[in-house]
Amino acid sequence: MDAVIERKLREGRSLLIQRDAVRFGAWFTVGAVGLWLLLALVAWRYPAVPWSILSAGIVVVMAWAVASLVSALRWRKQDEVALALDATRTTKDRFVTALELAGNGGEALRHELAAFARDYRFPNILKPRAPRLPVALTLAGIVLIVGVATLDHFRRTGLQPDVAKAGSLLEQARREVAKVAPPESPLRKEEEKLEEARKQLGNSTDPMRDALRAIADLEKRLASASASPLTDEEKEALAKALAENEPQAAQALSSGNDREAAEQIAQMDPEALAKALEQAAQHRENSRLQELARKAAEQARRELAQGLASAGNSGAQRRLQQALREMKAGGQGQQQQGQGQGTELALGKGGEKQDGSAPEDNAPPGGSPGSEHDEGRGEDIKSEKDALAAKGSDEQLTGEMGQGQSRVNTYSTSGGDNARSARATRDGGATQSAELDTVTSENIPPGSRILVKRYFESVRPKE
Amino acid sequence: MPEPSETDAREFCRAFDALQQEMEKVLVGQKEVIEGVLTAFFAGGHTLLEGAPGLGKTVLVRTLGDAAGLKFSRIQFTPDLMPGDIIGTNLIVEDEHGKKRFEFEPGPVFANLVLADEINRATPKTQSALLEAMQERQVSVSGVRHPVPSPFLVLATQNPLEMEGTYPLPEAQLDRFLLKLHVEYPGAEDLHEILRRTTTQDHPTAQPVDVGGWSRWQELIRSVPTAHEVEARAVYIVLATHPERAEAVPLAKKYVRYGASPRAAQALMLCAKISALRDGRFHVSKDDIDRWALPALRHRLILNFEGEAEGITTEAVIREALGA
Repeated sequence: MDAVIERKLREGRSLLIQRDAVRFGAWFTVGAVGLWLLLALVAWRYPAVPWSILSAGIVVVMAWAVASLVSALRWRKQDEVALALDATRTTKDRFVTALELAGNGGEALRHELAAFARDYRFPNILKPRAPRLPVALTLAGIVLIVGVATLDHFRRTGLQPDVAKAGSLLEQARREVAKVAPPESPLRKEEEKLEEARKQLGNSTDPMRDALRAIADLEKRLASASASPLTDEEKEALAKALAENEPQAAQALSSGNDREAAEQIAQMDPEALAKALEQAAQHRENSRLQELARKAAEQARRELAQGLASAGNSGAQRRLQQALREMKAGGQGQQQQGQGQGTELALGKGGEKQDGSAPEDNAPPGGSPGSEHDEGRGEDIKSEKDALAAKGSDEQLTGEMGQGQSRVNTYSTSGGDNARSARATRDGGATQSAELDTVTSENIPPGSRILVKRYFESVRPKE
Repeated sequence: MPEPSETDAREFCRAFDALQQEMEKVLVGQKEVIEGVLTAFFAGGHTLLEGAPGLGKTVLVRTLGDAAGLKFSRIQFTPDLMPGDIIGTNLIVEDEHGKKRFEFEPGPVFANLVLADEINRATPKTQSALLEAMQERQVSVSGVRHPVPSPFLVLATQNPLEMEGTYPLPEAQLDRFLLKLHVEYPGAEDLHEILRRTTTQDHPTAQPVDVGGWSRWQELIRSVPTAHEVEARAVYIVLATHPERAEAVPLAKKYVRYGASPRAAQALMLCAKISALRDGRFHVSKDDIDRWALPALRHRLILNFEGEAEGITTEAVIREALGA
């Protein structure tokens, strides 16, 4: 075969590989940009998801690398190259003919094919050129990504003050924990958790909410940890059982000095304590005393001593809880101000509430089952500070008689602002906690959260 | 097999072009038909011309005879035409000694160019009289074979409009035509030119052209090589018209009763080789084959009843095969 034709076939093969690489690369880039866009949208929703321009660059480079590899792997034999070149319909099948007949087709044919090969210029259709559709799709994807990135930038910039406030709130909480936590105490871990939460604020779409949630979680954990292992009645029963052999421990239990009682019990003979527990547990079905009495003597002594010891620290922990509660309340105020959602409630003249069951300190936020009658409430939700409300008309909320369980605490203030209920004032923290828990944990449609918040604002006793 | 030389190819093109120019002097607006007729002429094949009356079919054939300097005869096919009227008959003749004997009197088929005008008006028996001459280049009368002169080319015409009293050509005879060409109605410009040439004193006539040795061109054409890959194109097109074949296109599967015969592939290759030579090439391309697919195959497909009822044309089937 003529050397010129062979050279043209080699060049043609190279062009075909390049064309394939560009074509594959273009389509792979569409896929990569699509994935990148998806990632950007996910990162927009969940800022903790890592996403950056660099990742996009890597994705595109990888797409082209894979495309080049695939193209190179699609190695064409000489006859396949000839067929592909002749398929452009610019050669009159000369390459195929040259491969098959150049040796025995006659001198005239050889001359003709050689002359053709010398003058042959590869048509534009063989030149590496990205198809229009993937290019258009890629450009559209890039425009969308730039849009998302710009919006993300503005959002992060706008959230900076909130991040700073939330960070200081968590830092304050951490310091409070550090104050009460002795060295090697489990509370030290809480410090670390708060620090971790503070670091995560940068990726939050609502930093103040996340900070308050972290504090609320800490508060819950403290509440469960500081609970005494025995009720007052159980303590009294155990004190009676111990009175004869361990008068000091009995005295400490009777007087409510849990720490002293823990020290005494820790030094007691386990068997003696087991007997006392059995004695105290008599006629007390399903009590903690019975549980302890059923355990091995040594284990029962250890658990009881540890439980009383931790309850003995509850004074400091209570102060910490109180401090956290105050911080949370302050943080919520900041959040509402920051979001322009501050509301002010004025009770209507005929405002009248029917009390549900009296909530306990540790009662669930929803309170006990009851009904709510809320007529005359919510007529005067002022919204001077509410940027959202400024966009539309004031909303008038009309209460209705509900059926079934209510998850709302209702406090009877029996009057206007001047006659505030002491109970309601004291339970304000619980209401705030219920509000926070409800807003953050319940599956409330985003557009309705503000209504739920306002509702809680409206039922919160005035300071 | 002799290799085609560049000189032969140039002379062939010159002869082809000269004949074409002479014919175009007389015929207006029928370039494709002229090219088809000349291609069949050089390929040594017979041509079936189909077109409405007055489009110059007869003039075209007569002009070819004049231009090529060949013996030309015309047979007007009518229902009462007998085979003997075409091929000739034995007559009793008396010599100078008074002895009587049979002597074969050749019919009009003994010419280089035979114009079978309105061939579908004769009965199948008479139409079949041409069969032997077309295929074997001879006629048999009373057990005696009489070869027809070389070259021998039949150019038949038929009118697709007046179908009453006609006898459609049998498939066997249709298959013997290398090409079937449609003579289209001329455009306005061409009509003006026809009027100018035929209704004034300026009446052009075709001058005889020295086409060289006809058999020489036959050899040259057949010496043009074809790559297997290109030949496969012709094979594919023919097989794509066979409904029972895997290569069959959907239209063929649905509407064709019988596909094109192997003669169709031969016709494709011969005409493609002529096109290649005229294009200055010494090899056939797929485009050359595609170029002749319609005239070489359209009369060789037989549609089934559904195809006829649906108004499907054989051209549609061939176009689908070309596009697949």
